[in-house]
Amino acid sequence: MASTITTPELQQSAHGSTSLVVSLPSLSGEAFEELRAKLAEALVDENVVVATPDAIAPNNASGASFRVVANPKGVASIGQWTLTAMDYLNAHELVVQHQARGVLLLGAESQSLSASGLRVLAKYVLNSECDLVVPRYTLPPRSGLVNLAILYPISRTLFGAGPRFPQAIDVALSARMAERMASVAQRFTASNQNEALLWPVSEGAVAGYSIEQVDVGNRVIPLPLDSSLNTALAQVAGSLFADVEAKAAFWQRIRTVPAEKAMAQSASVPGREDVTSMIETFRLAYVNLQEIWSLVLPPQSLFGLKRLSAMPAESFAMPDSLWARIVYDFLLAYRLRTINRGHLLGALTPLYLAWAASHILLTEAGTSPEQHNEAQAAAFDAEKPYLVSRWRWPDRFNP
Amino acid sequence: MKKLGSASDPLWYKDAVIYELHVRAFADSNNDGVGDFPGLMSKLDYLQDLGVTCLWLLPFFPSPLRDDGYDIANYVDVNPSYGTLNDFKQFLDAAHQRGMQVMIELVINHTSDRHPWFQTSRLAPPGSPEREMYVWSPTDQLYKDARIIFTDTEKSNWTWDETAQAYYWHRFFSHQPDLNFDNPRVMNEVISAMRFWLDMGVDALRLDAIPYLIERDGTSCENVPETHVKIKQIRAAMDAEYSGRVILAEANMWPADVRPYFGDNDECQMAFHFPLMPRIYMALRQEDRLPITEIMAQTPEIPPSCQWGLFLRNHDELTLEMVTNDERDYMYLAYSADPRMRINVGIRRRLAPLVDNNRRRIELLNSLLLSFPGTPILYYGDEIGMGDNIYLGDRNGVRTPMQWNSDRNAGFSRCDPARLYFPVVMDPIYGYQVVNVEAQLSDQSSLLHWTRNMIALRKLFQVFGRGTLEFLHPTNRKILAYLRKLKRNDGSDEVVLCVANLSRFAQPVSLELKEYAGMVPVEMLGYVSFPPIDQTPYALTIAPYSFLWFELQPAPIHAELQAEEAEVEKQSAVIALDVQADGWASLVSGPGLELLQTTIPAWLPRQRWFGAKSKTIASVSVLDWVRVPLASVPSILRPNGLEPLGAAIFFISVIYSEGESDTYQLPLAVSAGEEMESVLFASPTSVLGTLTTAGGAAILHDATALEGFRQALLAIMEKDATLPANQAEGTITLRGARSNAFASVRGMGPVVARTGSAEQSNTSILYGQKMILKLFRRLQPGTNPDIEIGRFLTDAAHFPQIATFLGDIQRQGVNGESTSVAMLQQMVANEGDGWQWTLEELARFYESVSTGPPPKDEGKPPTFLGQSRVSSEAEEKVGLYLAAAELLGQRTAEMHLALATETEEAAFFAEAMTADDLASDAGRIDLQIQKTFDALRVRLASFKNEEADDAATVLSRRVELYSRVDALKQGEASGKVIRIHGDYHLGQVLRSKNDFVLLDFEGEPARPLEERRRKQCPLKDVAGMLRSFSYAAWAGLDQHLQRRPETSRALEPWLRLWQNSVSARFLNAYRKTCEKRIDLLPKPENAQILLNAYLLEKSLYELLYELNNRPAWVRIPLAGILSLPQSLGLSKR
Repeated sequence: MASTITTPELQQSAHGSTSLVVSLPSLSGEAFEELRAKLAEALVDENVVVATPDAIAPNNASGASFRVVANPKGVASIGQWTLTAMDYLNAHELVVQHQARGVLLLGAESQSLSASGLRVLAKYVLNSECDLVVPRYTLPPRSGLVNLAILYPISRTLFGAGPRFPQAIDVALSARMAERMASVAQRFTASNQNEALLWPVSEGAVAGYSIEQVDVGNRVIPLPLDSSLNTALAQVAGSLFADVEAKAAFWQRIRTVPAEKAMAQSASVPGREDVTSMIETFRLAYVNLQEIWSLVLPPQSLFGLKRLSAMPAESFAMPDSLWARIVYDFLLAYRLRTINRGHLLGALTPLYLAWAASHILLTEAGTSPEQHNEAQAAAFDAEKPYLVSRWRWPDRFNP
Repeated sequence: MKKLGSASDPLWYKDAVIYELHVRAFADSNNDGVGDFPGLMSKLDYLQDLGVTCLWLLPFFPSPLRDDGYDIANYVDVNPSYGTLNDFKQFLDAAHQRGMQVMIELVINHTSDRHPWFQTSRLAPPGSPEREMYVWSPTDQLYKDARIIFTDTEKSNWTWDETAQAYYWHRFFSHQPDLNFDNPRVMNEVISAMRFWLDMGVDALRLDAIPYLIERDGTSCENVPETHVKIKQIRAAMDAEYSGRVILAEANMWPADVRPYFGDNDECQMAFHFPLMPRIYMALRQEDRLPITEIMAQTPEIPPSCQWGLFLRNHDELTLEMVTNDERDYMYLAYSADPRMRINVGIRRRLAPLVDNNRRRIELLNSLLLSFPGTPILYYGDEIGMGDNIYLGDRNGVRTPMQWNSDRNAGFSRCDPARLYFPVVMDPIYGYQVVNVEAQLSDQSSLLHWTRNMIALRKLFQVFGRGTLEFLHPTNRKILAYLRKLKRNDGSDEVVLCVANLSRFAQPVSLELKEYAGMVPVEMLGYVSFPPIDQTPYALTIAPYSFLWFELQPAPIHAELQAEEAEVEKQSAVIALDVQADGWASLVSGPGLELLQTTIPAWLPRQRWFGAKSKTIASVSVLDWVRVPLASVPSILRPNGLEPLGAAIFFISVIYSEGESDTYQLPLAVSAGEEMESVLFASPTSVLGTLTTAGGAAILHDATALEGFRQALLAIMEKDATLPANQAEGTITLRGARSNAFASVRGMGPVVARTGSAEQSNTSILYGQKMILKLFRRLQPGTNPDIEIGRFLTDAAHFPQIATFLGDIQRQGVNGESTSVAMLQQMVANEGDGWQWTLEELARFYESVSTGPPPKDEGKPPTFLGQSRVSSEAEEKVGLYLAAAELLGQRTAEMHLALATETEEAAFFAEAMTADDLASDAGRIDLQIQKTFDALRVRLASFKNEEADDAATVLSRRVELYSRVDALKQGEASGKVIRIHGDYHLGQVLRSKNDFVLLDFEGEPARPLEERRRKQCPLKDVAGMLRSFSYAAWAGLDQHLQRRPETSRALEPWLRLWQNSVSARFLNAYRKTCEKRIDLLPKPENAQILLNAYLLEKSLYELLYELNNRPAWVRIPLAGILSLPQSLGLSKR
C-alpha cells in the first residue's frame, strides 16, 4: 500500500513522472477525506499528485496511490462558487512544477462528485485524448437557469462548443490547455482581478483544441456568498459578454453548431412554483426601466415586451426568439457601451426573471425542461445572423 | 531601462489601422492655442472608440517649425509647446494601456539649420568630423542631375553659407541642410536618437525622405545603392535590441523603386504606396478602374513579413509626382479648380473637399482604403469629413485644429481665437459648427459612426491585412472587383469578394466566379446571404458609388450534399462491385465495364475539358489502364496481401455517332467514408457513380479530386518513374521524366496541390505557387509540341522567357510510340495575358484621343523594305505601349533564335527553306482562300452597311489574292524553316514584371499533330502577332464605343495610327534582334512577300472563323485583308 505524503516540495524523483495533478479547493477536513477516498477509487494505478491549499496531516488510511502536496497558493476561501483566474494560474503552476500531463481542477463542494464522475473527468486527459474536459452535471429541475438562459446558448451558438456548462466548477485540462488558461488568467491577475471568471470552453474553441463533455452525475452546486441574483447575473453575464467581445473575430467565422445529446432527466418531479413575484418584478421594471431598455432594444423587442407585460400570469410565455434577441441586444450594448455597463446588466435582471417565469410555467404545463432548453438554444442559433449583422453594423435604426 | 514593445504579435502592423495626427493640432490642454500631449491624452478614449490601433505622431521635437516640425533642432526632446518628455511618456503608457501602438518620426535626411550640429558644422574647419556632419561643397555644380523637390520655393539644392564660405546641400527647404551619411558619426547619432525613443517603448518609426540619404554625382541622388546599406544598419541595430518594433519608409517612388526598401526583410517592414493614392482619385473621377488595376499590376511582390502603407490623404499635398504629365494635368483639372489648391507637384486638399463633400464618394474611397492589401492610414479629421483652408500658406490648410464640438475654437482650445496656431475652419460647409466630433457622436448616421463601424468590421477579418489580392475583370470597367484570400493558421480559408461601383449611376456587373461555384457570398456588413455561386457569371447590380463586401462561405453542408448526392444518384446506377478484391480489373469486365459504358456517355459532356460536346457518343471502350499508387492513406482497404487499390488512369476510346473517335485519358479513383464526403462536397461533378462494396458505400470518381493522386503525378516525374499498364509487362507503360530545372523549382518540403479552374480543354493541377501540371485529356499520338518545344527551350536553348519546362508523362505504346499525357511547367507570376493587358492600354488610349481631332499622320503598316517610322504624335498618344511592343518584338525574335539553336536533334535543327516549303505554303493558302470565299459568298446578302461594302471589295479582289499565291510559288526560297510557336497571338503571352513570358507552344489544336510539328518560316508567328494587334485595336475600339457611342467611326484613324505604330515598333525590334543570325530570315523583299502571304492566310482563317461563329466581328478580318499592301512582286529566281 502506497503512503500518502503531504509535502510542499516536489518529490518527483522518487515517483517518476506525474500523470495528473488534482487541484483541490479549500475543504473541511471531513470533506477532504471524502474526496480523497473517491479520488483514490477513481484514479487507482495512476501517478497522481493532489494539491490542497489546506494544511492536512499525513494520513495513510485511505490507501490512496497518490501523493498529497501542499498548494499554498491555492484558493483558500471556502465560499468560492466558481473557478477564478487565480485558480487557473495556480493550476498551470502545478502542472509545470510536477511536469504533469494535465490537471484536474476541482471547485467547491467537489466532494459531492462521485468516484465514477471523477474518473471520467480525468480519463481523457490521462489518455492524452483531449485538451479540455467539461463535466455535465445532473441538476435538480430548476437549478442552473442562468446557465440555461444565457451561458449555454451563447457558448454553443457563438463558439460552436457543446458543453452544457461553459462555466463548470470542475474541469480537466491538458498541459497546453492549462498553459493557455494561465496566460489568459495572467491578464487579469496582473491588474489584481484575481477572482475574474474565465471561459475555458471559448478559449479552447479559439485555440482549436479538442473539447469533450462527460456526464458526471449529481453534484452539489455551491452558491455565491452574496446570493443576490442581480450581483451574480451581472458578474457572470458581464464576464461572458466581455469574453465574447474579445473573441469577435473568431465567433463570427464559426458556422457549425454541435449536436447536443439528450440530457438525463432528473429523477425528481418538479413541484409547482409560485412565479408571481418574478412576473410582477418584470412588470414593474417594464414601467420603470422603459427608458433604459429603449436605448438597448429595438422597437420589435420592445413591442414584444409590451405584449408580455400585458399577459395574464397563467399564460405568461416569453417567445424563445424574443429572449435570444434580448440577450444579443444586451451583448451588443455592452460592447458599444451604450449605457454604463453596471446599469445595463442590472436592467437585464427583470428580463431574465420574465424568462425564468416563462420557463417554469412552460415546464409545469408539460414541456420537458430539456425540450425547452434545446428549443431555447436553437432560437439562439437561429438569431445568430441578427447578432452578427447588428454587431457589424450597430445602427439603431433597425426593426 | 529598455521597455518592451507593446504588441505581442510581431506582425502587428499588418493588422493595424493607423491614425495620423499632429500633437499641435489635436487638443490644447493649457489653452495656449497649441495642442499638447496632455490634450492628446484626454482624447485617447475617443481614438480607442474609433477603433484605430496605432497612432502616428508627426514631429513633436524642438524645432523652429518652418516645415511643420520636419526641421528638427533636437532629436531627443519634446517641443516645449507640446509638453515635456514626461508628458510624452505618460501619453505613451496611456496609449499602450488602451491597446494602441505609437509611431513617431525619425527625420534623418536633414535637420533644421538651427540644430547645434549645423551651427557647429558651419564654424568647423573643412574635413573635420563636425564639419562633415553635413554635405558641403565649394561649388554648386555637384549633383546637377538631382531634381528640385519643392519647386515652388527652391531654385537650387545648394545654398551658400557666408559663415562656412561654402555651399551646403539640401533636398528640401534651404533651412533644412542634409546630413552627410558618408560620415559614420552621423549614423551613430541617428542610432542613438532611435534608441532614445525605442527604450521608452515607442513601437514604430517613420523614416522620413529616405531615398535622399546619400548623394552621388552623376545620379539623381535618389535611391542610390549605399542608401540601403545605411537602412540595413538602422534595422540591424533595432532588431538587435528590440522586438516587435517597426520601420515605415517614406519613399515617394514608383512601387518597383520602393521594393528595394523592404530588402530581404532586413530594411523597412513597411513603406507607403504613393502612386496608388492619386490613381484612386483618378479612377473615381474617370469612373474607370484602370488607373487602380494598372498601378497594382505594377506593384511587385514584397517579403511576407512586409506591408504597404495605404492612405487617401495625409499632412502633405496630394502628391502627383508618381503620375504621367497627362495624368497630372487631368488631376489638376479634376480636383483643383482654384490654383490656390495646388502646391509643388500636388494638391493641398483634404478628403471631403476633394470629393465635393459627397458622403457616398467618401465612403467608397474609404472602403477601398480599408480593403486593399496593406495597412490603412487615416488622417486626423477625415473621419468626420473635416474641410481645409486653402488660404493658409504651404500645406497648412490641411493642418488646422481638430474640430471637437461647436464651442469656441471648435473645442480644441479655450484660448483667445487669435492665439490659435492656425484658425479653425469656419466656412459654412465644413465649419466646426457643422462638422465636429460631438455632433457626429450623437448622430447615429454620421460619417464618424460609419468610419468606426467599418474599422471594426475590417478588424474582424485578418484577410484584409494579410491576404492576397486578385482582380476580377468584368466587362464593365466602372466596376472594380477583387478577391482577398488568406490561408489562416488554423488551415481555414478566408475569401472576401469586394465589388465597388466607381460610377455616379447604378451599374450592372457579371463576375466570373466559377472557381467558387457552390459557395455562398455573404454580404459582410449586414450578414446577408446572397444566392450561391454557380458556373454562370455572377450578376450583381451596384448602386451609385456603392460597394459590397462579401465573405465567400461554403454552402450549408446538408443542403449541398443532399442536392449533389441526389444528382449523383439520379445519374448513376448503384452497382455492386467487388473493387476491394478484384481491383481495377473489375472495371473492364462485367458490372464494372457496364458501369463505365453507361455512365461515361452522360458524364463526359458535363466535364469542361470534353471538347466534343456537340457530338453524340455512341460507345465507349477501354483501351488499357495503368495503376497509380496514391501518395496518401487509402480510404478503400483491400484484403490482406493485396496492395492498396490506389488510382488508375484509364485510356478510353470514345466513338461518336458521326463515326469519328477520340482517345481520352480518365484518371479514376474509388473513395469511401470521409474521403467520399469530401469529394462529394468539393468536386461533385467528378463523380461517375456510386458503388456498393463489401466495405460499404463508395464512389467512383475522377482521381484529380484526390490530393494523393495529384501528388502521385508529381512523384512520377520527380522519380522518373515507369508504371506498367495492365497489359503484358514491357508493352504499354506510363513513363515520367523531369527536366534539369525540376529540382530547383520544386525545392524542398511539401507542396499542396489543387485543381485549377481556368483550363478549358485540359485539366490543370497547381502545386503551391510554383508549378502547374497540364493533364491532356484528349490524347493524340506523338509528343505534344508544347512539351517538345518547352523541353528544348528549357534544356537545350536555355531560353528564359517561357514558363520553364519541368517534366512530362508519356504513355509508351507497344511499338515504342509515345503519347503525351501530362506536362509540368513553372508557374509564372503575371499581371494577366497580353490580350487583356493590351485592351486595358487601348481603353486609355481611346479615352485620351476621343475628344481631339484626327491624327495628322496615321502611319503605314510596317514592312521589311525599310525602317518603319513612328510619328511623334503616336509616341505621345500611344505612350508606354510602344515600348512594350518593341520588347515583345525582341522577345519574339529571341524565341525564334532559340528555336534555331544549333542542335543535332532532328526535330529542331534549322533547315534551309526550299521551293517545296513555298509550294506547301501556297497550297495551304490557296485552299484557305477557296474555303473562305465560298463561305463569304453565302453570307454576303446578310451583311449591311460597311460590312457589306468591305465583303464585296474583298470578293472583288479574288483574282489578285490568288495571284499572290502564284507569286509565292514562283518566289526564291531563302532563310530558314524552324519549329515555330504556331499559334502566336497576344493571348499566348503573359505580361510579367514589365516583360513578357511566351506560352503554349501546342500550335493550333484543331490542326493535326504532324502539321503542328512541321518546321516553318518564323514569319508565320510574326504575322500572327501583327494580326493580333489589329484584332486588339478593333476590339478595344468596340469596347470604347459601347461606353461612348457618340465617337463612332471618328476614332478609326486613331485605330490605324495605333495599329501601325505598334506593329512598326514590334517589327523593327524583331528584325533588329534577328540580325544576330542573318541567315534566319529571308532577304527583305522575300520576307515582305512571305509576311504578306501569312497575313493574308491568317486574315482569311479569322474571317472564316468569324463567319461561322461571330458574324458581328467580320469587319476586323475584312479590314485586315483590305489593308494588305497591293504590291506582290516576289523576286524571281
